[in-house]
Amino acid sequence: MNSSYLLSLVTFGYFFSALFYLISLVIKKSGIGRLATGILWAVLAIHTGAIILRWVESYQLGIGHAPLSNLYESLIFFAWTIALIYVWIEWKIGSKTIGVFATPFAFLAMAYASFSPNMNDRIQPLLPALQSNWLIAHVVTCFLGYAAFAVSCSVSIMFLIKKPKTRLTKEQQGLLGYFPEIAVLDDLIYQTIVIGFLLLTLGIATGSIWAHSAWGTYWSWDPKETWSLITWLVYAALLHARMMKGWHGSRIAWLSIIGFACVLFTYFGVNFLLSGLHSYGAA
Amino acid sequence: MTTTQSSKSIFSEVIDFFASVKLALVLLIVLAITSILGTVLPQEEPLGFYQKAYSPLVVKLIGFFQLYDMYHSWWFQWLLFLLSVNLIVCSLKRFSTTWKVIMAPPRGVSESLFESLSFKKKLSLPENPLDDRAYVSSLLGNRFGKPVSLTSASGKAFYLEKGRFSRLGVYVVHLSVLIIFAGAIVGSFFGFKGFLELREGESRDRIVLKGAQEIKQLDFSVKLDQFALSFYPNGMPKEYRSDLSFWEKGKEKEKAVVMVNDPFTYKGITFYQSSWDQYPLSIKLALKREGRETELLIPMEKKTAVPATPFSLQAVRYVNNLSNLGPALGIILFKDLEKVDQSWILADHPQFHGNRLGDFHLTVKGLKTRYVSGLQVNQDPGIWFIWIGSSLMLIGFVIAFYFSHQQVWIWIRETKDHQGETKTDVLIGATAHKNRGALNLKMEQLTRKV
Repeated sequence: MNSSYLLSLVTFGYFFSALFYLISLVIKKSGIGRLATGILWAVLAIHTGAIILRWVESYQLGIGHAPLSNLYESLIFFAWTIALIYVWIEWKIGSKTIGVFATPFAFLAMAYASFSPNMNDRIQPLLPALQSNWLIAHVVTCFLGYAAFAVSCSVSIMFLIKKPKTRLTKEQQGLLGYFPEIAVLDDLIYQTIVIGFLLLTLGIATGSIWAHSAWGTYWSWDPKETWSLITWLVYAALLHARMMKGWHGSRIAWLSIIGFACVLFTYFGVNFLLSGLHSYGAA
Repeated sequence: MTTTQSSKSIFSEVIDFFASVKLALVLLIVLAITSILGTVLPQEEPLGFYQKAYSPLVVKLIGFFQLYDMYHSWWFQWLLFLLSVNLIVCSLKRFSTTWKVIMAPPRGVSESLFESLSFKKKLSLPENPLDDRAYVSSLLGNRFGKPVSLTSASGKAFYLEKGRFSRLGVYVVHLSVLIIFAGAIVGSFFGFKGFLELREGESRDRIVLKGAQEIKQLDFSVKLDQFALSFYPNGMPKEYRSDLSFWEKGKEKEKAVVMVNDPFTYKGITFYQSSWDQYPLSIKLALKREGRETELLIPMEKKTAVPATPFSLQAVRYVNNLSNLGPALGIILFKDLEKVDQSWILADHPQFHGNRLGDFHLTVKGLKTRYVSGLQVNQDPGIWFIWIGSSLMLIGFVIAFYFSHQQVWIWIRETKDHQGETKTDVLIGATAHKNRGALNLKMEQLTRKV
């Protein structure tokens, strides 16, 4: 058994977890919902094991670094953080419907890592610029932040779907009646963005400490840096609009979706469309 | 009178404009959108690059708006300046109010106070508690600190609070942004960024500053004692390492190793491993002319005579990889003192037809090379502003997002009910300066157990 085998199990696991969340919403059987959650917990445990195993394998190969060094490994970690944050939210608010929208993100990240033809999944040694203790702090904080924004985006989508139907009774709303209350969703969008914003700030700060020791500049307007700043500015605007201007509901949900689009561009778009210091993230 | 009044109102309008959240939102969004431009348009390229790629009109726009270096352009700096003014004016304007609230004594109890609070509840006790203070503590525990007695017209009143200073969180965040900006300004005025190329064994006391092509004199000299590079088995680079020594007045003061991610600071100036190169010390050449072959060792850059001929050779340039053809040497052929020919000689391609100078065909038999280490040399006195600003920002976020000023009032009064029986009323009220929902929920839980 090796980490690659476990990770392919994980990919299918997220698929089935997402599928069962959807089925449980459609046929309203709580047993299926519990099954979906059970699968998710098991998959998350295997996923955690696989990441640790890949770490161990890299030591066995005499390379020895945390599995956070290229696009493949970052996608694996991204999926893990999404699952982790979603599991925490499900446990906290006790609703499984968000799973319908959150688990597909974890599955898509895993599927992209596993099935993209240009993906390099070998464990490779670290280039001199990546040999830094700040690597782990930087990548972990950034991706936990990205995952919080991903969950916020899924909740925003749920909010926008449910909003037009709020005048109807729970029975008339059909499936949407099983979504958490609109006020709960609204609050959740905000809470997850606050977490994401804190972690993104921490990620940018640790990245600039690292850049300062590797290149002598804490900020060099490299496209990835700039896009992370653009993302930060969008969420900063959102938080000001909500806290100072009293914006709520649909407007915040849309801003949260725009914010996550910026996250996706920072993560993928910069690697494929622009060039810069972070180009090793592309392979 | 009217003129002063209107000028005053214009002044306060200007203040209101700069203090407004609307301006902050517009600036954040405009900064976000304009920042995209510099990630799409290549930055800091020579003018010719833009002239080749874009039409004359676009080149003119790029020139006027300084889009070739947009993050340092006049208008982008203006946007950042406006954001700073916005931050300062808005924070100052709100701060005086916040400070008054923080410093104000708690409001006394009254019916209207409880009306205004977000959480209010009335409990009825069959008899007066023996010890009011102990009763309050039993109700709320240590959650809100020690109860303070308030004077009241009737009964007994207590006030509890926590997180009073969390009202300052937002100012900590705003201040941290200004500190980071200040750090960037200090760095650009009092710091420098430069580059230094050192050959093994070479020592220098001057560096080339970035951009301006200026030379900066250091008050010490730095010597590259040795450069080493190593590779992984698969050929990926593993480590670049420069062994440096620092000299003052002909004396060695300190030795240091500089690697990628592991810089070294001497007298406030930091040296970073940035790049490396190779240069030849000497070249062993085979010369073929009119069927006769001779071997010759020529030191780099030194004109060397070809024995028994009026010719001499001088190797003036070396590149690691010329058009993907591998290492190449730029060699000049002299006859007596006159230059007669020059060409690139490819070291790894002995059969290359261009490997000739005049009547000579040249083959490189051996290269004795040494390393050149490229070092980034910086001084940034603003860096501590950046680290302090970033830390403050994170602390400020935690305060601003996860703490709130929570206030609780408790008023214990004796009243008579309809039958004239004496009973005790306990009025509990609470509010928070944000996230009231969470406080209301908590208060509901605390008072339910009574």
